[in-house]
Amino acid sequence: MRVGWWRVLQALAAAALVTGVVGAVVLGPDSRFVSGPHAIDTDVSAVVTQPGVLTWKNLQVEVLAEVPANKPVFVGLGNSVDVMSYLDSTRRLEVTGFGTPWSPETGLIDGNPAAPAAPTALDWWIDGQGGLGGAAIDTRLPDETVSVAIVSVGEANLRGLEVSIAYGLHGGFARSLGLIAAGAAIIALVQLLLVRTDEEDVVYVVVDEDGTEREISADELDELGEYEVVEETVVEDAPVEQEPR
Amino acid sequence: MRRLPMLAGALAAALALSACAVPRERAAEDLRPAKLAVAPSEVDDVVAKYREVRSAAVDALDAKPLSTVETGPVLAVDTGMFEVAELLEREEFALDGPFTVESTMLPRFDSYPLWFVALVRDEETGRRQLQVYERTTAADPWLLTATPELAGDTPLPEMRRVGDATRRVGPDDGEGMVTAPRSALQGLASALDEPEAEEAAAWAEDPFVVQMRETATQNADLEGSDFAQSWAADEQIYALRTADGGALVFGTLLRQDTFDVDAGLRVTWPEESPQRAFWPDGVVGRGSLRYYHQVLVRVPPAGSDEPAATLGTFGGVVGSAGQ
Repeated sequence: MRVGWWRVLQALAAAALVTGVVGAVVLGPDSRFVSGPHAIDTDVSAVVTQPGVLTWKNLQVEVLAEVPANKPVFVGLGNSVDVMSYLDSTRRLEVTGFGTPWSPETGLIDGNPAAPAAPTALDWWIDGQGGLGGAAIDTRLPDETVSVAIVSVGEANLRGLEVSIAYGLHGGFARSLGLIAAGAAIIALVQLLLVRTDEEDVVYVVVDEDGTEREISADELDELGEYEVVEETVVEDAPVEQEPR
Repeated sequence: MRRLPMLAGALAAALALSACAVPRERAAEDLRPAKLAVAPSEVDDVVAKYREVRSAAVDALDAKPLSTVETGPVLAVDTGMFEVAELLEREEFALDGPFTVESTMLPRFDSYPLWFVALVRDEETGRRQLQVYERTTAADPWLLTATPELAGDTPLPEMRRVGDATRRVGPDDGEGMVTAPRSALQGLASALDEPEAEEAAAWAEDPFVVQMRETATQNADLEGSDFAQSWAADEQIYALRTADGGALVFGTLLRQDTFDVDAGLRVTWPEESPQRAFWPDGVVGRGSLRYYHQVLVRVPPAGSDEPAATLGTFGGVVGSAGQ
Protein backbone atom coordinates (compact mmCIF):
# COMPACT_ATOMS: atom_id res chain seq x y z
CA MET A 1 0.00 0.00 0.00
CA ARG A 2 2.79 2.40 0.90
CA VAL A 3 4.61 1.62 -2.31
CA GLY A 4 1.35 2.43 -4.09
CA TRP A 5 1.30 5.96 -2.68
CA TRP A 6 4.90 6.48 -3.74
CA ARG A 7 3.91 5.44 -7.24
CA VAL A 8 1.01 7.91 -7.24
CA LEU A 9 3.39 10.68 -6.22
CA GLN A 10 5.76 9.62 -8.97
CA ALA A 11 2.92 9.72 -11.52
CA LEU A 12 1.96 13.23 -10.43
CA ALA A 13 5.57 14.33 -10.75
CA ALA A 14 5.68 12.80 -14.23
CA ALA A 15 2.54 14.73 -15.18
CA ALA A 16 4.14 17.94 -13.91
CA LEU A 17 7.26 17.19 -15.91
CA VAL A 18 5.28 16.57 -19.12
CA THR A 19 3.29 19.79 -18.55
CA GLY A 20 6.53 21.68 -18.11
CA VAL A 21 8.00 20.22 -21.30
CA VAL A 22 4.86 21.12 -23.30
CA GLY A 23 4.82 24.62 -21.82
CA ALA A 24 8.48 25.21 -22.57
CA VAL A 25 8.14 23.95 -26.17
CA VAL A 26 4.95 25.94 -26.95
CA LEU A 27 5.95 29.21 -25.26
CA GLY A 28 9.65 29.21 -26.01
CA PRO A 29 12.26 31.26 -24.18
CA ASP A 30 10.23 34.49 -24.68
CA SER A 31 7.17 32.89 -23.03
CA ARG A 32 4.81 33.71 -25.88
CA PHE A 33 3.14 32.40 -29.01
CA VAL A 34 3.03 34.78 -32.01
CA SER A 35 0.40 34.98 -34.77
CA GLY A 36 0.60 37.41 -37.67
CA PRO A 37 0.93 39.85 -39.26
CA HIS A 38 -2.65 39.60 -40.53
CA ALA A 39 -3.93 42.14 -43.09
CA ILE A 40 -7.27 43.82 -42.30
CA ASP A 41 -8.97 45.25 -45.36
CA THR A 42 -10.68 48.39 -44.08
CA ASP A 43 -10.76 52.16 -44.50
CA VAL A 44 -12.34 52.99 -41.14
CA SER A 45 -10.55 54.94 -38.45
CA ALA A 46 -11.08 52.45 -35.64
CA VAL A 47 -11.10 48.70 -35.08
CA VAL A 48 -12.44 47.55 -31.72
CA THR A 49 -13.35 44.30 -29.99
CA GLN A 50 -16.92 44.16 -28.69
CA PRO A 51 -17.46 43.65 -24.94
CA GLY A 52 -17.27 39.97 -24.07
CA VAL A 53 -15.06 39.00 -27.02
CA LEU A 54 -11.95 38.94 -24.86
CA THR A 55 -12.97 36.30 -22.33
CA TRP A 56 -9.61 35.51 -20.75
CA LYS A 57 -7.86 36.99 -17.77
CA ASN A 58 -4.19 36.88 -16.76
CA LEU A 59 -3.27 36.17 -20.38
CA GLN A 60 -0.26 38.15 -21.53
CA VAL A 61 -1.17 39.68 -24.89
CA GLU A 62 0.91 41.75 -27.26
CA VAL A 63 -0.92 43.59 -30.04
CA LEU A 64 1.08 45.22 -32.80
CA ALA A 65 -0.72 47.41 -35.35
CA GLU A 66 1.17 48.51 -38.43
CA VAL A 67 -0.02 51.00 -41.06
CA PRO A 68 1.78 52.15 -44.21
CA ALA A 69 3.29 55.55 -44.94
CA ASN A 70 4.12 56.32 -41.33
CA LYS A 71 0.50 57.14 -40.58
CA PRO A 72 -0.16 57.88 -36.89
CA VAL A 73 -1.90 55.01 -35.12
CA PHE A 74 -2.83 54.13 -31.55
CA VAL A 75 -3.36 50.76 -29.87
CA GLY A 76 -5.08 50.63 -26.50
CA LEU A 77 -6.71 48.30 -24.01
CA GLY A 78 -9.49 49.73 -21.85
CA ASN A 79 -12.57 48.82 -19.89
CA SER A 80 -15.31 48.13 -22.46
CA VAL A 81 -17.56 50.77 -20.88
CA ASP A 82 -14.96 53.43 -21.69
CA VAL A 83 -13.85 52.13 -25.08
CA MET A 84 -17.37 51.62 -26.47
CA SER A 85 -18.47 55.06 -25.25
CA TYR A 86 -15.41 56.66 -26.83
CA LEU A 87 -16.00 55.06 -30.25
CA ASP A 88 -19.81 55.01 -30.08
CA SER A 89 -20.25 57.70 -32.74
CA THR A 90 -17.28 56.63 -34.89
CA ARG A 91 -17.39 54.59 -38.10
CA ARG A 92 -15.63 51.45 -37.02
CA LEU A 93 -14.96 47.79 -37.57
CA GLU A 94 -16.18 45.83 -34.58
CA VAL A 95 -14.72 42.43 -33.83
CA THR A 96 -17.80 40.47 -32.77
CA GLY A 97 -16.12 37.14 -32.22
CA PHE A 98 -12.59 35.86 -31.96
CA GLY A 99 -10.89 32.49 -31.81
CA THR A 100 -7.23 32.04 -30.95
CA PRO A 101 -4.75 32.25 -32.47
CA TRP A 102 -6.44 34.30 -35.26
CA SER A 103 -10.01 33.87 -36.48
CA PRO A 104 -11.90 37.14 -36.09
CA GLU A 105 -15.55 37.81 -37.00
CA THR A 106 -16.22 41.46 -37.78
CA GLY A 107 -19.06 43.87 -38.51
CA LEU A 108 -18.97 47.41 -39.91
CA ILE A 109 -20.71 50.09 -37.82
CA ASP A 110 -21.43 53.40 -39.53
CA GLY A 111 -20.65 56.72 -37.92
CA ASN A 112 -18.42 59.77 -38.03
CA PRO A 113 -15.20 59.37 -40.02
CA ALA A 114 -12.96 60.18 -37.06
CA ALA A 115 -12.95 59.50 -33.32
CA PRO A 116 -14.29 62.39 -31.18
CA ALA A 117 -10.96 63.00 -29.45
CA ALA A 118 -7.34 61.97 -29.78
CA PRO A 119 -6.92 58.61 -28.03
CA THR A 120 -3.67 59.80 -26.53
CA ALA A 121 -5.56 62.55 -24.65
CA LEU A 122 -7.72 60.12 -22.67
CA ASP A 123 -6.87 59.04 -19.14
CA TRP A 124 -8.74 55.75 -18.78
CA TRP A 125 -6.71 53.42 -20.99
CA ILE A 126 -5.42 50.47 -19.00
CA ASP A 127 -2.57 50.29 -21.50
CA GLY A 128 -2.10 52.31 -24.67
CA GLN A 129 0.59 53.36 -27.07
CA GLY A 130 0.69 55.63 -30.11
CA GLY A 131 3.22 55.75 -32.92
CA LEU A 132 3.96 56.62 -36.52
CA GLY A 133 3.52 53.65 -38.87
CA GLY A 134 2.93 51.31 -35.97
CA ALA A 135 2.17 50.96 -32.29
CA ALA A 136 2.13 48.08 -29.86
CA ILE A 137 0.99 47.20 -26.37
CA ASP A 138 2.21 44.33 -24.22
CA THR A 139 -0.26 43.82 -21.41
CA ARG A 140 -1.90 41.24 -19.21
CA LEU A 141 -5.68 40.92 -19.60
CA PRO A 142 -7.26 42.02 -16.28
CA ASP A 143 -10.21 40.50 -14.44
CA GLU A 144 -12.73 42.92 -15.98
CA THR A 145 -14.53 43.23 -19.29
CA VAL A 146 -12.12 44.94 -21.65
CA SER A 147 -11.82 45.87 -25.30
CA VAL A 148 -8.81 46.39 -27.54
CA ALA A 149 -8.99 49.34 -29.92
CA ILE A 150 -6.81 50.33 -32.83
CA VAL A 151 -7.49 53.97 -33.65
CA SER A 152 -6.09 56.20 -36.35
CA VAL A 153 -4.94 59.58 -35.11
CA GLY A 154 -5.89 62.82 -36.82
CA GLU A 155 -7.12 62.75 -40.43
CA ALA A 156 -5.61 59.36 -41.30
CA ASN A 157 -7.54 56.10 -41.59
CA LEU A 158 -6.50 52.50 -41.08
CA ARG A 159 -6.19 51.49 -44.76
CA GLY A 160 -3.38 48.95 -45.10
CA LEU A 161 -3.63 47.89 -41.45
CA GLU A 162 -1.77 44.76 -40.42
CA VAL A 163 -2.14 43.25 -36.98
CA SER A 164 0.09 40.81 -35.15
CA ILE A 165 -0.86 39.19 -31.88
CA ALA A 166 1.32 37.38 -29.40
CA TYR A 167 -0.14 35.34 -26.55
CA GLY A 168 1.89 34.42 -23.58
CA LEU A 169 2.16 33.69 -19.92
CA HIS A 170 4.28 36.07 -17.90
CA GLY A 171 7.36 34.05 -16.86
CA GLY A 172 5.82 31.02 -18.55
CA PHE A 173 9.11 29.56 -19.81
CA ALA A 174 10.74 29.84 -16.40
CA ARG A 175 7.71 28.25 -14.76
CA SER A 176 7.84 25.40 -17.29
CA LEU A 177 11.50 24.82 -16.50
CA GLY A 178 10.61 24.84 -12.83
CA LEU A 179 7.99 22.17 -13.37
CA ILE A 180 10.44 20.05 -15.35
CA ALA A 181 13.06 20.34 -12.63
CA ALA A 182 10.64 19.65 -9.76
CA GLY A 183 9.01 16.75 -11.58
CA ALA A 184 12.30 15.14 -12.55
CA ALA A 185 13.74 15.56 -9.07
CA ILE A 186 10.76 13.98 -7.38
CA ILE A 187 10.66 11.06 -9.83
CA ALA A 188 14.33 10.36 -9.19
CA LEU A 189 14.06 10.66 -5.41
CA VAL A 190 11.06 8.36 -5.23
CA GLN A 191 12.82 5.81 -7.41
CA LEU A 192 15.86 5.86 -5.14
CA LEU A 193 13.70 5.35 -2.08
CA LEU A 194 11.86 2.43 -3.62
CA VAL A 195 15.13 0.71 -4.65
CA ARG A 196 16.43 1.08 -1.10
CA THR A 197 13.24 -0.44 0.27
CA ASP A 198 13.70 -3.50 -1.99
CA GLU A 199 17.19 -4.02 -0.58
CA GLU A 200 16.10 -4.18 3.05
CA ASP A 201 17.87 -6.78 5.27
CA VAL A 202 15.76 -9.72 6.54
CA VAL A 203 16.52 -11.01 10.00
CA TYR A 204 15.15 -14.39 11.10
CA VAL A 205 14.57 -15.12 14.77
CA VAL A 206 13.66 -18.64 15.87
CA VAL A 207 11.93 -19.45 19.19
CA ASP A 208 13.15 -22.68 20.76
CA GLU A 209 10.92 -25.09 22.63
CA ASP A 210 12.13 -23.64 25.96
CA GLY A 211 11.03 -20.19 24.84
CA THR A 212 14.47 -18.67 24.17
CA GLU A 213 14.91 -16.58 21.02
CA ARG A 214 18.01 -16.68 18.82
CA GLU A 215 18.89 -15.16 15.48
CA ILE A 216 19.55 -17.53 12.58
CA SER A 217 20.66 -17.11 8.99
CA ALA A 218 18.55 -17.81 5.90
CA ASP A 219 20.53 -21.05 5.36
CA GLU A 220 19.85 -22.20 8.91
CA LEU A 221 16.18 -21.43 8.32
CA ASP A 222 16.20 -23.72 5.27
CA GLU A 223 17.83 -26.46 7.33
CA LEU A 224 15.03 -26.30 9.89
CA GLY A 225 12.62 -27.70 7.33
CA GLU A 226 9.07 -27.20 8.57
CA TYR A 227 8.40 -24.22 10.83
CA GLU A 228 5.53 -21.99 11.85
CA VAL A 229 5.71 -18.21 11.29
CA VAL A 230 4.62 -16.74 14.59
CA GLU A 231 5.14 -13.06 13.81
CA GLU A 232 6.38 -10.94 10.87
CA THR A 233 7.54 -7.46 11.70
CA VAL A 234 8.67 -4.75 9.28
CA VAL A 235 10.99 -2.33 11.03
CA GLU A 236 10.86 1.13 9.40
CA ASP A 237 13.72 3.57 9.34
CA ALA A 238 13.56 5.17 12.73
CA PRO A 239 15.65 7.94 14.19
CA VAL A 240 18.42 6.70 16.39
CA GLU A 241 17.72 7.76 19.92
CA GLN A 242 20.72 8.63 22.02
CA GLU A 243 20.90 8.20 25.73
CA PRO A 244 21.13 11.52 27.51
CA ARG A 245 24.52 12.03 29.12
CA MET B 1 8.22 7.15 5.07
CA ARG B 2 8.08 10.69 6.43
CA ARG B 3 9.60 11.73 3.16
CA LEU B 4 6.30 11.13 1.35
CA PRO B 5 4.44 14.17 2.69
CA MET B 6 7.59 16.26 2.26
CA LEU B 7 7.98 15.36 -1.39
CA ALA B 8 4.24 15.65 -2.05
CA GLY B 9 4.41 19.13 -0.51
CA ALA B 10 7.35 20.06 -2.73
CA LEU B 11 5.44 18.94 -5.81
CA ALA B 12 2.31 20.79 -4.71
CA ALA B 13 4.37 23.95 -4.14
CA ALA B 14 5.92 23.67 -7.61
CA LEU B 15 2.49 23.22 -9.18
CA ALA B 16 1.02 26.10 -7.17
CA LEU B 17 3.82 28.45 -8.18
CA SER B 18 3.35 27.49 -11.80
CA ALA B 19 -0.40 27.99 -11.51
CA CYS B 20 -0.10 31.53 -10.11
CA ALA B 21 -1.79 33.96 -12.49
CA VAL B 22 -2.43 31.16 -14.95
CA PRO B 23 -4.66 32.45 -17.76
CA ARG B 24 -8.23 31.28 -17.49
CA GLU B 25 -11.57 32.17 -19.04
CA ARG B 26 -13.87 34.45 -17.12
CA ALA B 27 -17.37 33.24 -16.29
CA ALA B 28 -20.04 34.20 -18.83
CA GLU B 29 -22.00 36.21 -16.24
CA ASP B 30 -18.90 38.31 -15.56
CA LEU B 31 -18.49 39.37 -19.20
CA ARG B 32 -21.09 42.13 -19.07
CA PRO B 33 -19.50 45.60 -19.31
CA ALA B 34 -19.28 47.26 -15.92
CA LYS B 35 -16.99 49.66 -14.13
CA LEU B 36 -16.75 51.76 -11.02
CA ALA B 37 -17.38 55.40 -11.97
CA VAL B 38 -13.82 56.29 -11.08
CA ALA B 39 -10.95 54.54 -9.33
CA PRO B 40 -10.86 55.65 -5.66
CA SER B 41 -7.26 56.76 -6.11
CA GLU B 42 -8.30 59.20 -8.88
CA VAL B 43 -10.96 61.10 -6.90
CA ASP B 44 -8.43 63.45 -5.32
CA ASP B 45 -7.05 64.31 -8.77
CA VAL B 46 -10.51 65.17 -10.13
CA VAL B 47 -11.33 67.39 -7.14
CA ALA B 48 -7.84 68.97 -7.17
CA LYS B 49 -8.18 69.87 -10.84
CA TYR B 50 -11.55 71.46 -10.16
CA ARG B 51 -10.11 73.48 -7.28
CA GLU B 52 -7.17 74.60 -9.36
CA VAL B 53 -9.36 75.94 -12.17
CA ARG B 54 -11.79 77.50 -9.71
CA SER B 55 -8.94 79.23 -7.92
CA ALA B 56 -7.63 80.62 -11.24
CA ALA B 57 -11.11 81.88 -12.13
CA VAL B 58 -11.45 83.57 -8.74
CA ASP B 59 -8.03 85.19 -9.07
CA ALA B 60 -8.96 86.57 -12.50
CA LEU B 61 -12.53 87.36 -11.42
CA ASP B 62 -13.54 85.62 -14.65
CA ALA B 63 -16.05 82.78 -14.76
CA LYS B 64 -15.06 81.59 -18.24
CA PRO B 65 -12.47 78.98 -17.13
CA LEU B 66 -15.15 77.36 -14.97
CA SER B 67 -16.85 75.98 -18.08
CA THR B 68 -14.01 73.45 -18.33
CA VAL B 69 -14.77 71.99 -14.89
CA GLU B 70 -18.44 72.84 -14.21
CA THR B 71 -21.68 72.46 -16.07
CA GLY B 72 -25.43 72.92 -15.69
CA PRO B 73 -26.85 74.67 -12.64
CA VAL B 74 -23.47 74.82 -10.84
CA LEU B 75 -21.92 76.75 -13.72
CA ALA B 76 -24.98 78.97 -14.00
CA VAL B 77 -24.94 79.78 -10.27
CA ASP B 78 -21.19 80.42 -10.20
CA THR B 79 -21.38 82.57 -13.34
CA GLY B 80 -24.19 84.54 -11.71
CA MET B 81 -22.11 84.84 -8.54
CA PHE B 82 -19.16 86.23 -10.51
CA GLU B 83 -21.48 88.64 -12.30
CA VAL B 84 -22.97 89.88 -9.04
CA ALA B 85 -19.52 90.17 -7.49
CA GLU B 86 -18.25 92.14 -10.44
CA LEU B 87 -21.27 94.45 -10.50
CA LEU B 88 -21.11 95.02 -6.76
CA GLU B 89 -17.29 95.11 -6.77
CA ARG B 90 -17.17 92.35 -4.16
CA GLU B 91 -14.59 89.66 -3.69
CA GLU B 92 -16.18 86.95 -1.60
CA PHE B 93 -15.28 83.60 -2.97
CA ALA B 94 -14.73 80.68 -0.68
CA LEU B 95 -14.02 77.03 -1.40
CA ASP B 96 -11.12 77.51 -3.76
CA GLY B 97 -8.19 76.75 -1.46
CA PRO B 98 -6.83 73.65 0.32
CA PHE B 99 -9.36 70.88 0.73
CA THR B 100 -9.81 67.36 2.05
CA VAL B 101 -11.85 64.63 0.41
CA GLU B 102 -13.46 63.11 3.50
CA SER B 103 -15.34 60.29 1.81
CA THR B 104 -16.56 59.12 -1.57
CA MET B 105 -19.64 57.42 -3.00
CA LEU B 106 -18.72 55.59 -6.19
CA PRO B 107 -21.55 53.89 -8.10
CA ARG B 108 -20.99 51.17 -10.71
CA PHE B 109 -22.17 51.67 -14.32
CA ASP B 110 -22.55 49.60 -17.48
CA SER B 111 -22.58 52.67 -19.74
CA TYR B 112 -21.98 56.42 -19.77
CA PRO B 113 -22.74 58.95 -18.36
CA LEU B 114 -20.77 58.14 -15.21
CA TRP B 115 -20.98 60.10 -11.99
CA PHE B 116 -19.71 59.94 -8.45
CA VAL B 117 -19.99 61.89 -5.21
CA ALA B 118 -17.18 63.27 -3.04
CA LEU B 119 -17.61 64.83 0.39
CA VAL B 120 -15.15 67.73 0.33
CA ARG B 121 -14.19 69.85 3.34
CA ASP B 122 -12.66 73.27 2.81
CA GLU B 123 -9.70 73.44 5.17
CA GLU B 124 -9.87 77.20 5.73
CA THR B 125 -13.57 77.52 6.46
CA GLY B 126 -14.46 73.96 7.50
CA ARG B 127 -17.45 74.10 5.16
CA ARG B 128 -18.44 70.76 3.67
CA GLN B 129 -19.87 70.19 0.22
CA LEU B 130 -21.18 66.98 -1.26
CA GLN B 131 -19.98 67.31 -4.84
CA VAL B 132 -21.33 65.34 -7.79
CA TYR B 133 -18.92 64.98 -10.72
CA GLU B 134 -20.23 63.65 -14.03
CA ARG B 135 -18.56 62.43 -17.19
CA THR B 136 -21.01 62.44 -20.11
CA THR B 137 -18.92 60.33 -22.49
CA ALA B 138 -15.49 58.71 -22.34
CA ALA B 139 -14.15 61.58 -24.47
CA ASP B 140 -15.39 64.25 -22.05
CA PRO B 141 -13.76 65.51 -18.86
CA TRP B 142 -15.20 65.21 -15.35
CA LEU B 143 -17.46 68.18 -14.68
CA LEU B 144 -18.99 69.34 -11.41
CA THR B 145 -22.77 69.14 -11.76
CA ALA B 146 -24.01 69.51 -8.18
CA THR B 147 -22.44 70.84 -5.01
CA PRO B 148 -24.91 71.24 -2.13
CA GLU B 149 -23.29 72.50 1.04
CA LEU B 150 -24.11 70.59 4.19
CA ALA B 151 -25.65 72.64 6.94
CA GLY B 152 -23.28 72.79 9.94
CA ASP B 153 -22.28 69.39 11.25
CA THR B 154 -25.16 67.60 9.55
CA PRO B 155 -24.27 63.89 9.66
CA LEU B 156 -24.62 61.87 6.48
CA PRO B 157 -26.45 58.56 6.60
CA GLU B 158 -24.62 55.28 6.08
CA MET B 159 -24.70 54.32 2.40
CA ARG B 160 -25.58 50.90 1.01
CA ARG B 161 -22.58 49.38 -0.71
CA VAL B 162 -22.08 46.34 -2.88
CA GLY B 163 -18.39 45.53 -2.74
CA ASP B 164 -16.63 48.82 -3.33
CA ALA B 165 -19.59 50.40 -5.14
CA THR B 166 -22.40 52.51 -3.71
CA ARG B 167 -25.87 51.48 -4.87
CA ARG B 168 -27.69 53.87 -7.20
CA VAL B 169 -31.42 54.56 -7.20
CA GLY B 170 -33.35 55.44 -10.35
CA PRO B 171 -35.11 58.84 -10.27
CA ASP B 172 -38.51 57.15 -10.47
CA ASP B 173 -37.67 54.13 -8.32
CA GLY B 174 -39.59 54.48 -5.07
CA GLU B 175 -39.25 50.85 -3.98
CA GLY B 176 -38.73 50.57 -0.25
CA MET B 177 -38.96 54.34 0.28
CA VAL B 178 -41.67 56.76 1.29
CA THR B 179 -41.45 58.27 -2.19
CA ALA B 180 -39.34 58.13 -5.36
CA PRO B 181 -36.49 60.66 -5.72
CA ARG B 182 -38.25 62.63 -8.45
CA SER B 183 -41.50 62.74 -6.46
CA ALA B 184 -39.60 63.97 -3.40
CA LEU B 185 -38.10 66.88 -5.36
CA GLN B 186 -41.42 67.69 -7.00
CA GLY B 187 -43.04 67.60 -3.57
CA LEU B 188 -40.45 70.05 -2.25
CA ALA B 189 -40.95 72.37 -5.23
CA SER B 190 -44.73 72.19 -4.78
CA ALA B 191 -44.43 72.95 -1.07
CA LEU B 192 -42.49 76.11 -1.94
CA ASP B 193 -44.72 76.98 -4.90
CA GLU B 194 -47.98 76.52 -3.04
CA PRO B 195 -47.34 76.89 0.70
CA GLU B 196 -51.04 76.64 1.45
CA ALA B 197 -51.47 73.26 -0.26
CA GLU B 198 -52.18 70.25 1.97
CA GLU B 199 -49.09 68.38 0.75
CA ALA B 200 -46.89 71.34 1.78
CA ALA B 201 -47.47 70.58 5.46
CA ALA B 202 -44.90 67.74 5.35
CA TRP B 203 -42.16 70.27 4.54
CA ALA B 204 -43.33 73.02 6.91
CA GLU B 205 -40.47 72.53 9.39
CA ASP B 206 -37.71 72.04 6.84
CA PRO B 207 -34.96 74.68 7.36
CA PHE B 208 -34.54 75.36 3.63
CA VAL B 209 -38.29 75.78 3.15
CA VAL B 210 -38.52 78.03 6.19
CA GLN B 211 -35.68 80.21 4.89
CA MET B 212 -37.16 80.49 1.39
CA ARG B 213 -40.58 81.37 2.77
CA GLU B 214 -39.09 84.09 4.94
CA THR B 215 -37.34 85.58 1.91
CA ALA B 216 -40.55 85.43 -0.09
CA THR B 217 -42.45 87.13 2.72
CA GLN B 218 -39.87 89.96 2.86
CA ASN B 219 -40.16 90.47 -0.90
CA ALA B 220 -43.94 90.41 -0.72
CA ASP B 221 -43.86 93.10 1.97
CA LEU B 222 -42.00 95.48 -0.34
CA GLU B 223 -44.15 98.57 -0.77
CA GLY B 224 -45.09 99.76 -4.23
CA SER B 225 -44.85 96.37 -5.98
CA ASP B 226 -46.60 93.05 -6.28
CA PHE B 227 -44.41 90.04 -5.73
CA ALA B 228 -44.90 86.56 -7.20
CA GLN B 229 -42.72 83.51 -6.85
CA SER B 230 -42.75 80.18 -8.71
CA TRP B 231 -40.83 76.94 -8.17
CA ALA B 232 -40.20 73.85 -10.29
CA ALA B 233 -37.95 70.80 -10.11
CA ASP B 234 -35.26 70.22 -12.75
CA GLU B 235 -35.11 66.91 -14.64
CA GLN B 236 -31.50 66.10 -13.68
CA ILE B 237 -31.49 63.90 -10.58
CA TYR B 238 -28.82 61.79 -8.89
CA ALA B 239 -29.82 59.36 -6.16
CA LEU B 240 -27.96 56.86 -4.00
CA ARG B 241 -29.35 54.21 -1.66
CA THR B 242 -28.75 54.59 2.04
CA ALA B 243 -28.09 51.58 4.26
CA ASP B 244 -31.54 51.83 5.86
CA GLY B 245 -33.28 51.52 2.47
CA GLY B 246 -33.88 55.24 1.94
CA ALA B 247 -32.00 57.49 -0.47
CA LEU B 248 -29.84 60.59 -0.76
CA VAL B 249 -31.19 62.65 -3.64
CA PHE B 250 -29.37 65.43 -5.49
CA GLY B 251 -31.61 67.76 -7.48
CA THR B 252 -32.09 71.33 -8.61
CA LEU B 253 -35.05 73.62 -8.04
CA LEU B 254 -35.76 76.50 -10.40
CA ARG B 255 -37.13 79.63 -8.74
CA GLN B 256 -38.42 82.78 -10.33
CA ASP B 257 -39.16 85.99 -8.40
CA THR B 258 -41.21 88.57 -10.24
CA PHE B 259 -41.79 92.16 -9.14
CA ASP B 260 -44.63 94.17 -10.69
CA VAL B 261 -43.95 97.77 -9.71
CA ASP B 262 -46.87 100.11 -9.44
CA ALA B 263 -47.25 102.61 -12.27
CA GLY B 264 -45.21 105.77 -11.78
CA LEU B 265 -42.92 104.16 -9.18
CA ARG B 266 -39.34 102.95 -9.25
CA VAL B 267 -38.23 100.32 -6.75
CA THR B 268 -34.59 100.06 -5.69
CA TRP B 269 -32.89 97.45 -3.48
CA PRO B 270 -30.17 97.59 -0.79
CA GLU B 271 -26.53 97.94 -1.80
CA GLU B 272 -25.44 94.32 -1.24
CA SER B 273 -28.47 92.57 -2.72
CA PRO B 274 -28.39 90.60 -6.02
CA GLN B 275 -31.28 92.75 -7.20
CA ARG B 276 -29.07 95.83 -6.86
CA ALA B 277 -26.42 94.16 -8.99
CA PHE B 278 -28.80 93.40 -11.83
CA TRP B 279 -30.94 96.53 -11.45
CA PRO B 280 -28.60 99.29 -10.20
CA ASP B 281 -31.18 101.93 -11.15
CA GLY B 282 -34.11 99.99 -9.74
CA VAL B 283 -37.09 98.51 -11.54
CA VAL B 284 -39.85 100.30 -13.37
CA GLY B 285 -42.75 98.16 -14.53
CA ARG B 286 -41.83 94.47 -14.27
CA GLY B 287 -38.59 92.76 -13.30
CA SER B 288 -37.83 89.14 -12.60
CA LEU B 289 -34.88 87.20 -11.26
CA ARG B 290 -34.23 83.51 -11.89
CA TYR B 291 -32.48 81.34 -9.33
CA TYR B 292 -31.17 77.79 -9.17
CA HIS B 293 -31.23 76.06 -5.80
CA GLN B 294 -29.44 72.74 -5.64
CA VAL B 295 -30.71 70.58 -2.81
CA LEU B 296 -29.60 67.41 -1.10
CA VAL B 297 -32.71 65.62 0.09
CA ARG B 298 -32.83 62.68 2.47
CA VAL B 299 -35.68 60.35 1.54
CA PRO B 300 -36.51 57.97 4.42
CA PRO B 301 -37.26 54.28 3.92
CA ALA B 302 -40.86 53.08 3.73
CA GLY B 303 -42.54 52.91 7.11
CA SER B 304 -40.35 55.60 8.62
CA ASP B 305 -41.94 58.23 10.83
CA GLU B 306 -39.50 60.87 9.61
CA PRO B 307 -40.45 63.09 6.67
CA ALA B 308 -38.14 63.76 3.74
CA ALA B 309 -35.77 66.62 4.55
CA THR B 310 -33.10 68.80 2.96
CA LEU B 311 -29.59 68.18 4.32
CA GLY B 312 -27.78 70.72 2.14
CA THR B 313 -28.28 73.46 -0.43
CA PHE B 314 -26.37 75.58 -2.93
CA GLY B 315 -27.85 78.28 -5.10
CA GLY B 316 -27.99 81.78 -6.40
CA VAL B 317 -29.14 84.13 -9.12
CA VAL B 318 -28.62 82.89 -12.65
CA GLY B 319 -30.38 85.54 -14.71
CA SER B 320 -32.65 88.54 -14.81
CA ALA B 321 -35.22 90.20 -17.00
CA GLY B 322 -36.70 93.70 -16.95
CA GLN B 323 -35.36 97.02 -15.80
